[in-house]
Amino acid sequence: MLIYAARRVAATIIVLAIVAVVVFALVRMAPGDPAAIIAGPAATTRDVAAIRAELGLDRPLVVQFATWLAHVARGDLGQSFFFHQPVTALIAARVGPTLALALATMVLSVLVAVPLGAIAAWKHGGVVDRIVMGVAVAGFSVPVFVTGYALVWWLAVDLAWLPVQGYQPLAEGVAGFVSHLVLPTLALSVVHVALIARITRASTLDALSEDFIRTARAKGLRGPAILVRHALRNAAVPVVTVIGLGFALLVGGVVVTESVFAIPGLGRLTVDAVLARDYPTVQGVILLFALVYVLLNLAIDVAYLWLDPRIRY
Amino acid sequence: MHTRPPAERDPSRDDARAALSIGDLTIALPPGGDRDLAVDGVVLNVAPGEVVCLVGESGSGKSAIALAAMGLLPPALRITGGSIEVDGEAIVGATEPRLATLRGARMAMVFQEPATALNPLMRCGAQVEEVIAAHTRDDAGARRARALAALADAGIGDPARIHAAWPHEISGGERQRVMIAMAQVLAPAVLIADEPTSALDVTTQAQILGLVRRLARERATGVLFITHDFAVVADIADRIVVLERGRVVESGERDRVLRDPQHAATRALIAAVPGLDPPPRAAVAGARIVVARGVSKAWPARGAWTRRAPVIACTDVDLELRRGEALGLIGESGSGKTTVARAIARLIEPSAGAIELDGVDIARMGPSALRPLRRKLQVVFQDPYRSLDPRRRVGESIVEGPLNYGVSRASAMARARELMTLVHLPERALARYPHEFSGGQRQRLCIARALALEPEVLIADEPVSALDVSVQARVLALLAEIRDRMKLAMLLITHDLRVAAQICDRVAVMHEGRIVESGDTREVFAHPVHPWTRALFAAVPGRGLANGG
Repeated sequence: MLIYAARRVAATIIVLAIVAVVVFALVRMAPGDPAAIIAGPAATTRDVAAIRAELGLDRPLVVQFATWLAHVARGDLGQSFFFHQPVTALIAARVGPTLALALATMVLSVLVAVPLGAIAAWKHGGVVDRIVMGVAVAGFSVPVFVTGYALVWWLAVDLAWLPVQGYQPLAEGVAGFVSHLVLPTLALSVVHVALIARITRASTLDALSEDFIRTARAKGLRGPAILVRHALRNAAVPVVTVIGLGFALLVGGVVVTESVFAIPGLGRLTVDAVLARDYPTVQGVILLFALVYVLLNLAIDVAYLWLDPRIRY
Repeated sequence: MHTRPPAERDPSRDDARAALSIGDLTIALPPGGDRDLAVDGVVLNVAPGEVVCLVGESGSGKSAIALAAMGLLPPALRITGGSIEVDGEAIVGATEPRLATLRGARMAMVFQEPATALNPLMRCGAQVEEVIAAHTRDDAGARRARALAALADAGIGDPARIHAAWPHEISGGERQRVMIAMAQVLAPAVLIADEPTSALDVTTQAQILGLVRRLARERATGVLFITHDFAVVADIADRIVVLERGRVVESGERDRVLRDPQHAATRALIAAVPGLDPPPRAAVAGARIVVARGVSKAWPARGAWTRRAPVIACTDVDLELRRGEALGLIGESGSGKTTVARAIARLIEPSAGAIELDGVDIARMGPSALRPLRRKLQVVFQDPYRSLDPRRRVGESIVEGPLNYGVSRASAMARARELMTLVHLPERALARYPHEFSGGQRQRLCIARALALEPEVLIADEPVSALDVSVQARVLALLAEIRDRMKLAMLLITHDLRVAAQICDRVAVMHEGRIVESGDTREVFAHPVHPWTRALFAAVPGRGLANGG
C-alpha cells in the first residue's frame, strides 16, 4: 500500500510536469502580446519593448521556462503581469468562492441524486422511476447558463427571495453567504443530479439482480436494509467514480457559472487572465486545476479500497 | 454441542405437526412457455427432523416450490391455488412484512452457489449477525456469541477467523458452511436447501451432506432438499418426492423408492447416475501423441515490489497420452489439474519440464511457432453457457477456427454440417444463436467447435459438471463415441469419479499439485492405494445405489 502511494505520488509529479510544459507552450502560442496590452493603445514600440524586457519576455523561451519551473518547484507561481500581485496570492483570494460553490454543489447533488437513483432502481419500471429518469434526461440536456438565468428570473427577480448575483464570504455572515450561494448551486447541481442519479440507478439495478440480494431477502431483511446495506454498497464503485470526476469537472468548469452569477472565484480569474494574456496567472491556475484532477483521481482509487475489500493495489 | 439458542420458535411445539406442509400447490407460468403451470397440484409434507428430497430435472418446478415456500417467488410466477404452511403458519396470502418476519427465523434457505450467495462487501460474521439483528433484540455482544456458536455448529473449526473473514478469502466449502450457519442460527422450523452441494467438490459435498443431516436430527429441523442427483438423494433423504413437469409422479420412503422405483421418470433419474464400476476396456495400443515430463508451474506472487513465495500450482507432473485413449485427470479444486491441462494446451507456459506434442517439444515454444501446432490440440471448457459467443450464430463460431487456418468458407461450412450430425444435432442448428439451446446441446456445440479443426488431442475440462445428471450421461456417451470413431486422444479433467469411470481408459489422481496415483481405470478403482485416492472414493455420494458400483 505504501509502495502504491509512493508510485502514485511519483506519477503525479510526472503528470504535473507534462501539464507545465503544455500550458507554458500553449499560452505563448495564443495570439496577442501581454506587453502590448499592458502598454495600451497609445504606446510606442519602444514602450512595449521596455515592458517586454521588464516582464522577462525578451529572453529565450527555454530560459523563461526553466526560470518559471524553478520558481514553481519552490511553490512560487510568479508575479501576475496584469494584477501586479503574486499569482499564489491571487489564487488564495479566489479559491474560497470556487471551493464553496463546488462543495455545495457536490453535496447537494449527492444528497439528492443517490436516493433518487436508488429508489428508481428499487421501483424500476414504476412511475417514480419514469419521472426521475425523464427529469434526468431533461436536466442533462439543458446548459448551465439557461438553467442559471431561468432560476435568477424566477427566484431572484420575480419572487425576490434571493440576491440576483454576487458573493459574500462566510466571514461576513452566514445568512449572506448562504443566500448568495443558493442560486449558483442550484443551477450547477441540475446536471450533476441527473448524471449521478442515472449511474446510481443503473448500478443499483445490477446489484439488485445478484444472488446475495436473494439471500438477504431469505434472511428476513426489510426493503430499506436490503437496498442500503446490500445493493447500494455493491453499487458504489461506479457512483463514486462519477462523483469524483464530477467534482473535478466542477472545479475546472465554474468559469460559466461564475460569469453568470458574478462570483469572484477562480473561473473569473481564469477568464480575466486569459483576456489580459497574463501568462503567469493562466499557467498557475491551470497547474492548480491539473493538481486537483490528479488528487481527485487518487482519492477515487483510495475510496475503491475502502468500498471493496477485493480490490488490492 | 451448544445448547439450543433461546427459542424464536415455541419449544413446546407439537412435534407431530408438519414443519412444512404444502397442499395442492399450483403455480402458473407466464403465457407463452412450454407449459401453463410451473407447479401443478403438488402435495408435500416435511416432518420436524426429517430430510425430504425433492428430485427432478432442470425445469421440473422444484426451485419454484422452494421459492414459493419462502414467499420469494419472482413476480412472473403466480400462485393460483393451494396452500403452504410453515410450522402451522400460512405462507400463501401472507403480507410481505409478515413474510419478512418469518424468513430467517422460522424458515431459512441455503442456495446452490455459495460464491455468489454471500455479499462480497460484508464480513462473513456480520452476515450471520444480520439475521439475528433482524429478528431479535440481542445486543452486539450476544449477536457475536451466537454467530460464533452457529459457525462452530456448521462445522467450522476456527469460527473467530471465519467470522472476521471476507467471503473471497475463504474456500467454497467454508462459504457454504457460513450460509448454513446463517440459515440455522435462529433454529428455524424449516430449512430449504436448493442444490447446496452441486458447486462443491466430492469430499466437501460429503461433509456438507453430513452436516445437513446432523443439524436436522439435532435441532428437529425439517429439511426440504432439492437436487437432480440421485447419488446425493441416496445419501441424505429420509423420503423422496420425484417431480416431472410440475407434477409429483412418485413419492415414498427412501429405501422403497431406490429399491423399487414405480415411475419411469424416477427410473430414468436413477439410471442417469453413472456407475462407479468402470466397464472392462481393451488396452489402447495407439502411438503416443502427448508426452509430458516433469511439468511444473509456479505463479509468481503478485506485485513486483513485494517479496512473497510464489504459488506452486503443479510439481513434476509426468503424463502420457496415446491416440484413441482417454486419460482422466482426477482431483479436487486447487489440486492443480486444470493448470496441467492448460500447460499441455500451452495456454500457459510451464515453469519447468518438457511437453511433446506428436514428437515436438512445445514447452518453451513462442506464439508464432506454436500457431500451426495449435489446431492439433483443442479444448472443451466447463461452462457451456459462457463459452459460446452469445451474439454470434452457432455456425459462425464453429467455422471461425478453420477460417483462421485458411480453409475456404464453403468447405468449413460443409464440415460444420457433418459435425452437427456427429454430435446429434440438426444441421439447421448452425443458423441459430446459443441462447436457443439447452446446456447439454450447448456442450455438444462446444465439442463440435473443438472438432472443427480436426484435432488429434481433445482436452475436456469438467465438460459435464455444469449439466444435469441425465444430460451428463448423454454428453459422456458422445465423447466416448467421438474418441472411438476419430481415434482421438482425450484428456478429461474431472473431480467426479463416476464421470471418469464411464469413459477413461486410464486415470491419474492429483493432490496438492502432484500426481499421487495413476494406472488403468479398473485397476485404480478396484484397488486404490494412496490414502488421498481412498478418501476421494469414500466421499463419492450414493455408494448405496444399485448402479453405484
